[in-house]
Amino acid sequence: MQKVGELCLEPTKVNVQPGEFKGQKLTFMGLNNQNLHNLVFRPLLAAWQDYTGAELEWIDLAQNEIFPRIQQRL
Amino acid sequence: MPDWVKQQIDLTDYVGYLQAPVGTWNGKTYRVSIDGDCHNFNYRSDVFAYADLGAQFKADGGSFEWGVPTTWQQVQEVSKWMKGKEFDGQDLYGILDVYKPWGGFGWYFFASRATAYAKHPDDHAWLFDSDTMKPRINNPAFARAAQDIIDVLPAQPPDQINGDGNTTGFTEFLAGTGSMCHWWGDVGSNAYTSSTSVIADKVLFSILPGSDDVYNASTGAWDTLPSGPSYSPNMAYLGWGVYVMNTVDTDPVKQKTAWSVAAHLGGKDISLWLACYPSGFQPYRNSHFNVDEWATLGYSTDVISSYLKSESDSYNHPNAAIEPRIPGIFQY
Repeated sequence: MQKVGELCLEPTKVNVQPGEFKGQKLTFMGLNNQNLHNLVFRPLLAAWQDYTGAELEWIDLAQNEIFPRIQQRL
Repeated sequence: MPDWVKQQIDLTDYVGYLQAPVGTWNGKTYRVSIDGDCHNFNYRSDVFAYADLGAQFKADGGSFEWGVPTTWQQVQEVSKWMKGKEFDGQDLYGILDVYKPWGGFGWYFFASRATAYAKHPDDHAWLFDSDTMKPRINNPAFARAAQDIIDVLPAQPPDQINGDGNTTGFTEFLAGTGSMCHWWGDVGSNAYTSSTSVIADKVLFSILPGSDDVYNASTGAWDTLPSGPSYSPNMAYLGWGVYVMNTVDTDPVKQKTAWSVAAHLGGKDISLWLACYPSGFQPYRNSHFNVDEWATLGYSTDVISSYLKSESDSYNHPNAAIEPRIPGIFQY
């Protein structure tokens, strides 16, 4: 999936310059069920992070946790 | 959603039921869809094609021709009949129900048992009266679905009452237990790609079973439709999306960063990979329904055609039960 993320980076390059988001840190809260969802997003976003310079922090939640946590966050 | 994101991800490619107003509020788009959600019906094609079982079912007074059940009434009948039977040297079970709340997601499995009873083709509403907002969860349709699930428990695998969604879809059905399973599209995409699956080439798909009759909330009566059984696929959860919090709005660079993450994950090309491989996400774009593309990945053409048809027939069904994703939906 890291290669997939790299292969699919062209649309991002149309709108974002290399290193444009350097210094930016974001938190991504999402699901981890059956070791999927957020755990698939990580490799998909590896090339995006390298290109843009942004960093991501992950909050992985189990299926029975995610909805209450989202409601709390809102 | 900024216009540049809309262009980057091509919103026009979303399947119809995920187009606006889904993901919008007051005319503004807030959601990058990354998933289409419906519960389809996964069934063991080998079980329901086995002539010996069919002969036995008929001899025991089975009320329908042996084959995949098309109504919940048939599902109940055959599941109870299967109790104590064997197939291919293993205990045979019928429908696999989810009994645990699972953080609220157990609701969808109950809803899938209920929509054919509760969603009348002449009524846009099924969860609550749209005029008064009065919940319909205690009406005879939902009560019947609950009773079905209770009644069939003795015919399900041991300890099924402690089973959540992961139990029915992954621990049981993909691993060869049970002959019918309503789940999100993960079962279909995992049947060939998961190392724990033993059902590749033994599974086919359809929309959720219908019902011989459907409850009319306006009249308080059960209607039998002249067209035959009533069907109502459950658009369970409406799919995952990526949402950008408004906390980034005070910083234009951070805002663009966040939307760029969402746009990358919601992009057209990436989405096909997510649909075809185990990811937790299902087809959600019209461009995902090209059978030949799936076949190049090794999927059987017959199986993937069946799978994609079950998804698209669900998404496009005129009587689909759409979930409004209201706060408190899990309390239903």
